[in-house]
Amino acid sequence: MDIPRRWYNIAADLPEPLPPLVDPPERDGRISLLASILPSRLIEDEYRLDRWVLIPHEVLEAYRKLGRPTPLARARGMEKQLGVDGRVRIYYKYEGVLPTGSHKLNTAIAQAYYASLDGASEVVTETGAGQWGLAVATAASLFSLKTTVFMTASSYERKAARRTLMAALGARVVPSPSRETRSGLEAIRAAGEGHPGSLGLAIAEAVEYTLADEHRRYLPGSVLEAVLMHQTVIGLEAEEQLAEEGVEPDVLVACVGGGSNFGGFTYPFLGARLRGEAYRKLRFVAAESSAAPKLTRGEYRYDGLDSSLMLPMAKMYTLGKDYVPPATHSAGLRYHGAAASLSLLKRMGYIEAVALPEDEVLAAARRFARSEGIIPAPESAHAVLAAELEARRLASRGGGVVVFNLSGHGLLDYEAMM
Amino acid sequence: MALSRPGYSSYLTIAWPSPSEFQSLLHKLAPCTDFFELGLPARNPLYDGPTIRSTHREALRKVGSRGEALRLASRAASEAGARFIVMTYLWEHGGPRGLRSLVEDVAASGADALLLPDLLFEYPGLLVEYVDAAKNNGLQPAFFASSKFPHHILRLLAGMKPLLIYLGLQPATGASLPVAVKSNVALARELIEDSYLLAGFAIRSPETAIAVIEAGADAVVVGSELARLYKAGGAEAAAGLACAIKKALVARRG
Repeated sequence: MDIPRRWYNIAADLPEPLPPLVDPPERDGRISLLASILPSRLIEDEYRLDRWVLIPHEVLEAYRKLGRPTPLARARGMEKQLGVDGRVRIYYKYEGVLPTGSHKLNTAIAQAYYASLDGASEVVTETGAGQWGLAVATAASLFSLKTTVFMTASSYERKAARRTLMAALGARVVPSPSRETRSGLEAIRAAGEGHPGSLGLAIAEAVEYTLADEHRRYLPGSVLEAVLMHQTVIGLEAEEQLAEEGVEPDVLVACVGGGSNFGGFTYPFLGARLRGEAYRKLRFVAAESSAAPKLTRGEYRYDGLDSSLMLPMAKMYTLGKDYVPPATHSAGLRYHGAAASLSLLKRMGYIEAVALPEDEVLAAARRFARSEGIIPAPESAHAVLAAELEARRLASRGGGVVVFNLSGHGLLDYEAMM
Repeated sequence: MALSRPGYSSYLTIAWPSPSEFQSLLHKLAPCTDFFELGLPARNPLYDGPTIRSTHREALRKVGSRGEALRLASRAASEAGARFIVMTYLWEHGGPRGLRSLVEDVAASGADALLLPDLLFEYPGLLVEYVDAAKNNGLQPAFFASSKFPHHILRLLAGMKPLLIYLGLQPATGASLPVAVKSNVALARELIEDSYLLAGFAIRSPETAIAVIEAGADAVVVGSELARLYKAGGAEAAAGLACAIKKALVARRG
């Protein structure tokens, strides 16, 4: 199979209109400011009425060069280990084969290319576990851009391997909260030097740093609809690969931080269901971390995308923009909110969510490693555990097919396996 | 009752900058305006940008109640011989509980329609109730859609025979982001067929207005730029832009 030529924009098929991004009541002009922060083409992608958006040739070429399409594999070892073989078939789409080891590269490439179209010299972002930062550093190197990454302080310490690799790619990695921005200084003043950081705070720092120089562009790793749309290459490939296998899934599972991995994997299937074309009985399960349980315990309301309201507000499930989750190995899932489309679909009952504790998740990661030969990233291991739970459930009801997205490998997260 | 094609609409926040200046500004714009979109002063104009938000904040200090604002709008439009629709956010009026009395008040003001930008985003289940209430009170439905909107809902709205469907070209009024305006308008036109398509948000010049009309819109509405020009150069400056756009649209129609 070849790489999809188009991304899928689920906004065209949502059962209800997507509540738009808005300026906070007390802070006008956040939306207008996006023009000074984001790459122009990313804004264009964010506000598309089209259902399908052509992937630029340069992005397609980079996808091909870096290893797309990624494989869809049958998890026979996992089926056997769970004792569901013969009744339940488990498949996983594996994004860990990409050079940075996770799905994050799919949108990083598009966004770095877009920044280069604007004539930017530097791209700026935040990162939790380092997967997004590493993807941005890699994509930026393909388009000859400098990179600055604000990395949550807890991960800066824990994820030294990715930090080192980002630096090897030429990126400047700054622990957040930092003393380089007002947002960082305020957080340090309020909580002291031991502040573990949060993605919301790191975003605020990255945006503030971007605004200090017109040749910088901020690249968001998740939550924005355009980012989810870029990730739909995963689901579009998976749909075709499952069709080639002659398989119709009963459950799709993916982990959720801000929603780009989940949306990218499931939206092509969800869209077909919303249009009434297929998958009428397919279930969609979002696996989140119990350290940041926005879908299961958050409120559905407008809230800031970042802690300082540098960016507009989105209507979403949120734990509050100032929520500081406990430090975990799954730093990529520590975000306080979920993408607007994902939140809407959850509220309407199209998506189910489960919050999983880290000890059980890491145990599932070890089981998967021993049965399938792949060490999953701690974030991705949430999907592994949720897939196990779904497989057992299907087995008790006569069988079925579970497909999950293994969004990344855990070879750089070895400390989680200790 | 049909609206002219191509058409031009001026947006004003009722009672801004003051009740008397609002009246004289409306009067000044009327000769070049096919119909007005008049905004009820709101505490939190959710989808508006900084310029229109500031007009709301200022207007709120000048007008005491919804009834007072609607009477002012009605009087100003009537004296200028102008048609108008009323724009307001439903949540400002108590959400679903306030819908019926709001529709009745707006209908009594002589407006052609009531536009509720938050209706489909915040209260999608109220769509039918809104349409029924509007029709029962002699108003034609009017709908607001964004440039990121479900296609099936746009088709549904078109099937309700509205006075107009207002497409927000930008994420907020007055914002000027690099959005694919032309292709979004063209697709919206295709989806709603011959329903009246009003396009607005960040239209600042006759050239932009013409481009949007050529992409498929029936009419354009200008608000933030009129407010900015009024603050900078008074009613003459605002009317200058309105009349330049109207003239360009008429010239294009030939």
